[in-house]
Amino acid sequence: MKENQSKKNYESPPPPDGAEPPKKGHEQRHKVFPFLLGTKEYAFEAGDAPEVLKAMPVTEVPSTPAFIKGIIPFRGEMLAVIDLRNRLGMEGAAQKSKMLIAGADDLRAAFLVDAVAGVCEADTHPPDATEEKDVFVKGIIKSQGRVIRVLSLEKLLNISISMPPCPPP
Amino acid sequence: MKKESDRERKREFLAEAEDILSTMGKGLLRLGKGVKAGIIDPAVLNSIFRSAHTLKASSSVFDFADMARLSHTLEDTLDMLRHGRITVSNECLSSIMTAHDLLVRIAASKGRKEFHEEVKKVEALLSAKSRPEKTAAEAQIDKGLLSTLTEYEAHRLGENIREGKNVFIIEAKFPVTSFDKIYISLIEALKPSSELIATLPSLKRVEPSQRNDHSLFFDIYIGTDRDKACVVNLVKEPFNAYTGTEYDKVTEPFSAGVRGLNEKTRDKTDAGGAFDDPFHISSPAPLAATDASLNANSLTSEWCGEGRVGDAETGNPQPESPAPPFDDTPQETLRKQTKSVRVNIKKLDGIMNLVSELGFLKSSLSELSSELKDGSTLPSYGIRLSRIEKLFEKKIAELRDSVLGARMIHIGQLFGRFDPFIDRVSRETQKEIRVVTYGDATEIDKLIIEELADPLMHIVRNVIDHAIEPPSEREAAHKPRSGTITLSAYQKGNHAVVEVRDDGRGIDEALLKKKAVEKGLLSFDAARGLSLHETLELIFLPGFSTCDAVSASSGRGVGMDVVKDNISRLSGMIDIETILGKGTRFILTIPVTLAVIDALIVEDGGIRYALPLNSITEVAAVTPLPADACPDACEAGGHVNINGRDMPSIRLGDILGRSACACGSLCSGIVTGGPGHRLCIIVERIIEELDVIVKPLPEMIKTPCIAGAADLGEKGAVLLLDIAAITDLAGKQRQKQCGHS
Repeated sequence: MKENQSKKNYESPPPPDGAEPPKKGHEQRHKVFPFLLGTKEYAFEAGDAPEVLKAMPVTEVPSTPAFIKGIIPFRGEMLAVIDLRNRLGMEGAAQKSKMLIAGADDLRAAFLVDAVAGVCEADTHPPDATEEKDVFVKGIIKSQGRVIRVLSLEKLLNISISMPPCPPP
Repeated sequence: MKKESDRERKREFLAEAEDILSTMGKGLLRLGKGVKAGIIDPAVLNSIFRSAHTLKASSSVFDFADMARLSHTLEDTLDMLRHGRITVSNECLSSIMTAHDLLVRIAASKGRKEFHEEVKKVEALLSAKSRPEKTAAEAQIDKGLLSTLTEYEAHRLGENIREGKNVFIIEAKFPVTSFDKIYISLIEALKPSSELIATLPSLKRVEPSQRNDHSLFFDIYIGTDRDKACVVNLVKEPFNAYTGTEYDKVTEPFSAGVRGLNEKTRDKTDAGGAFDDPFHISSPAPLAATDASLNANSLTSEWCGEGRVGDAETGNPQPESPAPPFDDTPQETLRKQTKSVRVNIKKLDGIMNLVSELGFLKSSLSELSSELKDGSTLPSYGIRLSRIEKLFEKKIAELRDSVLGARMIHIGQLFGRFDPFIDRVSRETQKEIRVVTYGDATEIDKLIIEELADPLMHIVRNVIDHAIEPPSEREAAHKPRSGTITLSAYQKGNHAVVEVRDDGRGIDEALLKKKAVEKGLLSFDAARGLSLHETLELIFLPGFSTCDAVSASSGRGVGMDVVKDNISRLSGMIDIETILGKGTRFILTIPVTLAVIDALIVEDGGIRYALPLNSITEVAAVTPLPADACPDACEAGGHVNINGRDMPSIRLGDILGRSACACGSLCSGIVTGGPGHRLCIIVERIIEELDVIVKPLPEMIKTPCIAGAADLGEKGAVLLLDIAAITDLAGKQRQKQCGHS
């Protein structure tokens, strides 16, 4: 509903467009919904039906993990609001927070992100274990020097999974 | 796509099966009452039969093999019952109830579990019962035949079958000219070895071609000790004596009581067919006949006669009366008779959400109208707008009430499920129980009814196990032999009160205390200090049981704690009243609906919370004492004095683990709970009272003391406090602190 406006706010280069020729290997072409967290680009799969929500008051809930900012009412149900920076173990709070709803039925939540763009199509390949430490990343898109990490909604919403402690340098 | 629709249809079937089974359960209950009273209403039997029939048909369509098989067997048994081929006895009824119970469980498992073994067992039980018993031998007699016999003839026929004699029909064709002679010699021939039961003009087997043949056709019914061959020989003679008579067949309508024998006879008859005339023996198979064309009235009267025969024989003062057969083969139709629509409750929730959104729109309207009224520019528009707004408000309220109404079902539906359950448990425990229900028409939200089912079941189970005494003990105590469990419901404001009352032995306070101390749940001193109310609350402790022996159904100390949990989850209350030796009352007070609750919105630490108004008894201004003013009692708990009563208090911020409102400043105290378990929850301030629609919290958020959240439109969500959980937690914290000090 707010896609147009959000595209305007999107400050990074436009996402790779669908015209790019498909690559070989175990890559798959997926529709994704990219967004920004600080300087890093992430995305949800379009299958997770992401949509942008206009800002609304978030109600804090006591005794919840720090990454859960609270709840919001959304179409007759209550959704948990997750601070994605916090969930992904990143420093700092979201700056120009946008609320992104993703998922369906029981597996749905609102995510606080910095900026969003519309849906785009791109080749996704599974993360390389050596270069990608993030447990929540289920695919990586590399194009024109950009790296977009596709997040696993299931894992994000599974409260028992947390970021592994940073390995010693 | 197809799979999806299949699943949808399967779901619908299961919902339908549930309905059918509940109807069947109700019918079984009425049948049970009928059996006890000795009157069996054929309509009831028929409705049960129809339920089984429908269930069989649809379960086989949806591949519920176990259910289909069992309902098929059940249908067979019921069919025999309704045609009076077997009598409705207590044992028979109980096996049917077992089958019903199993069907309910199969339906509840949604086809995810295997019930083969159990089905087999129950089937065996049913077929053992459905084998026509000797006493019910007359029940085998073909209805068509019965309607033509006189009462005496039918009686003799029944007696012959009962005595295990062979009954044959001699289908004779007499020449008109010599009819009398042949008939007399035939009777003479048969007399020494047989009893002549009846001679009936035969109409059935006369073919049109033979009709003008100057012949008379008769069926002669005899009862004899002899076998068929012997009878055939006897019959042959008189006919042979008069030349040219092509007379007859000898058939066995009823062999000595057992169906299996009859099957055999039928085989023999077929073989007999090989040696052709004049002794062509065929089986008219009257046993299998279900004559839909029969006149039900004449049958009923015949059957009353038969019923009396049964009484005389058994000398039973409470006869197991055979059910009057009653035939109403339903006409084939695809149209359903019910006027109700099955709606997924989620759809109703959806409508309810729309109603609440309309409510938000209404509040914006009302703001606008008051702005217009106050502003100098357009006051007249303001007044008009406010009129419209009032009307709008009224309509929204009506809409809300009708949606709420659609969610309501009669609690009688729930009570009805208890009859088979109580019946089963009482048989298991060998106690005699009478169930009485009041207020079946009390309407409660469907979701609450379902939440209430298990707690009620646990209470009833405990009542049967522990409260109701065995018959002998009851008689010794000058009580009626059978215990009475009364399930009643009535509405009280926004609440429904559901009561389980028994006339059993009551709860022994001293015993409760003793057991609690024995099990280490309580110290001896603590036990001594308990009030009556607190003592009774002990039964809700997990693992608590006064029973040393664990029975199949209860005594493990599991159950009553579930009751407490479930009821408080519904923000309901449970109270116990008991008189030793006289009985106990469990009083559950629950909201009529959870879809919309009347809530008090409060603020504490900058966050708003909603409290269900129905669990609040009073609200007062209080000044919490600084923590250091009461050094032993703590940070979480203190005491406040409200209207002259001292009661424990707790600051909301403390219990939720946030900054609490400042000590010494004026706050609001919200008193919750009934007498004996009062608690004052202290919050910063009270905002307003609102009707809110409560939604569960997202799965990933599990917070104690929060029951859910409500949408307040523009203002976002507000958390609904779980008063029961807060009370419990406060109590525990208090105990801990007591332990420390």
